[in-house]
Amino acid sequence: MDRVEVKIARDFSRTPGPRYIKEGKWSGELFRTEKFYNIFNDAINNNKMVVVDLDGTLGYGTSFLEEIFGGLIREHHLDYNQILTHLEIVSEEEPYLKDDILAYLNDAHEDSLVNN
Amino acid sequence: MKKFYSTSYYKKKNTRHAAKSLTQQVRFNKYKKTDNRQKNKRNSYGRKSVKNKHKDFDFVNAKVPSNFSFLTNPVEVIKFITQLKKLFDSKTKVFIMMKNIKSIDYSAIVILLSIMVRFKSQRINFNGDFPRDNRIHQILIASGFFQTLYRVSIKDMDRYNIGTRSAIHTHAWKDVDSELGEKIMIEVATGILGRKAVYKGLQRSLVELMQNSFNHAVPSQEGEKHWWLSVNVSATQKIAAFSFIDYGVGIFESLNRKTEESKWFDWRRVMNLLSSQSNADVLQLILNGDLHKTVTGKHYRGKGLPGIKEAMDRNLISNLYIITNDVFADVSENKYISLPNNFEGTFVYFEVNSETITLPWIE
Repeated sequence: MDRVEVKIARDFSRTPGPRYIKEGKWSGELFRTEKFYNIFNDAINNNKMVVVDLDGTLGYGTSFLEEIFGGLIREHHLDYNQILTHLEIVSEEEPYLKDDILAYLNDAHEDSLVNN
Repeated sequence: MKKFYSTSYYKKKNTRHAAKSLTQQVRFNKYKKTDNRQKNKRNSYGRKSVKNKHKDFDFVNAKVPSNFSFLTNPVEVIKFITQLKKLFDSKTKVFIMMKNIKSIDYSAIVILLSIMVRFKSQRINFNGDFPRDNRIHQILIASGFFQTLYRVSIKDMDRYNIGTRSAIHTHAWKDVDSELGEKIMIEVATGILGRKAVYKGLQRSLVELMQNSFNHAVPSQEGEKHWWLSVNVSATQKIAAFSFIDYGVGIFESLNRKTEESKWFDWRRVMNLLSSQSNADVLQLILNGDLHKTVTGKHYRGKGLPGIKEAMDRNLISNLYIITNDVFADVSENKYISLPNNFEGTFVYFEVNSETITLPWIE
């Protein structure tokens, strides 16, 4: 499977911010709508692996991460299993973020099942 | 002509004329003085106000607690904040009495600055005297307090920056400003370690706090209130102290005001809390993630206040204190205390020091 690397510190900001655009600069919503969804959707359609590298930033507010990953299911209705198949997370600096992100995806998936 | 003016006849006549003219002038002056007195005379109120022009001071005095520290004297500091809030709401001029302050810490600086700016930005007079203690005076000077106090006016703005980078620096904004973390991080790491370094816990804590203030300080009105952050870096002690405050409704009041659409609506019933359980007990449940888990059925995953405690547990920050509504929490010491009075807002203090975990800085 071909690999597409997304490094948040390089491709977006060293200082990722809040969840929504209205809350401040460098929001998860901005990153998801302008970059992340297109990359992920393209990867799913062309059977590529998206490698998300979380290292190199100054730190994350949790809402940013929840919004970019959970938002793929909540807002763009991407398939939970497809996301897991095409996602690889690199987080050497904060290894616990991997578990957090998998939980955000799972929570968004469960909520989408309840809402539908 | 010269001969005429020197005659005795002229001299006598001129003397008589001058005497008569002087008498008339004196009489007129006397008349005018009496007339002016009648026209301009003060009534009893006027006479009293002139007599007491220094005593009849229309500023209300507000005495600053002698131990001016939110961390060690929260009850008195809350009283002081509550008094000033009432004066602010009634647009009353205030004179803060600081001369008897015996001790002050950085938790107090953010309170003093934020309150002063709120008064001055609304054009409500704010004044005060000087602390007698020179060390305290110097701390206030370093914080930029007097510099801001003496500004003729302060506009009501979204953003304020007060103080000097080399000492105590205070920032205020309404939005979440993640870029501020970078500037602060450089300042802090250089002061403590002598080089740039990444403090992941600092950035997470700041973003979570700003976001909490944006969303929860005033229920149903996002981004309504300023958050205030004072940073003090002590290069000698190798400590950076962070004091964050918003004057919203506080954590418990915010939870109590959740609407039916929220998962947190009626949270007390959902938690099956006993009436004997105080807000201090509940704050402990919040910080441990238990409240989130019970109410939403999901793990908190680092979100909000539990995420900040998690950063402390991982040694990414240290000495965490939270004061909100009627609760004082020394989180590092696991002490949760109910206060006799209510603070309308949320105050969070934490530190980073030379033992805090850092990562190398990459340009």
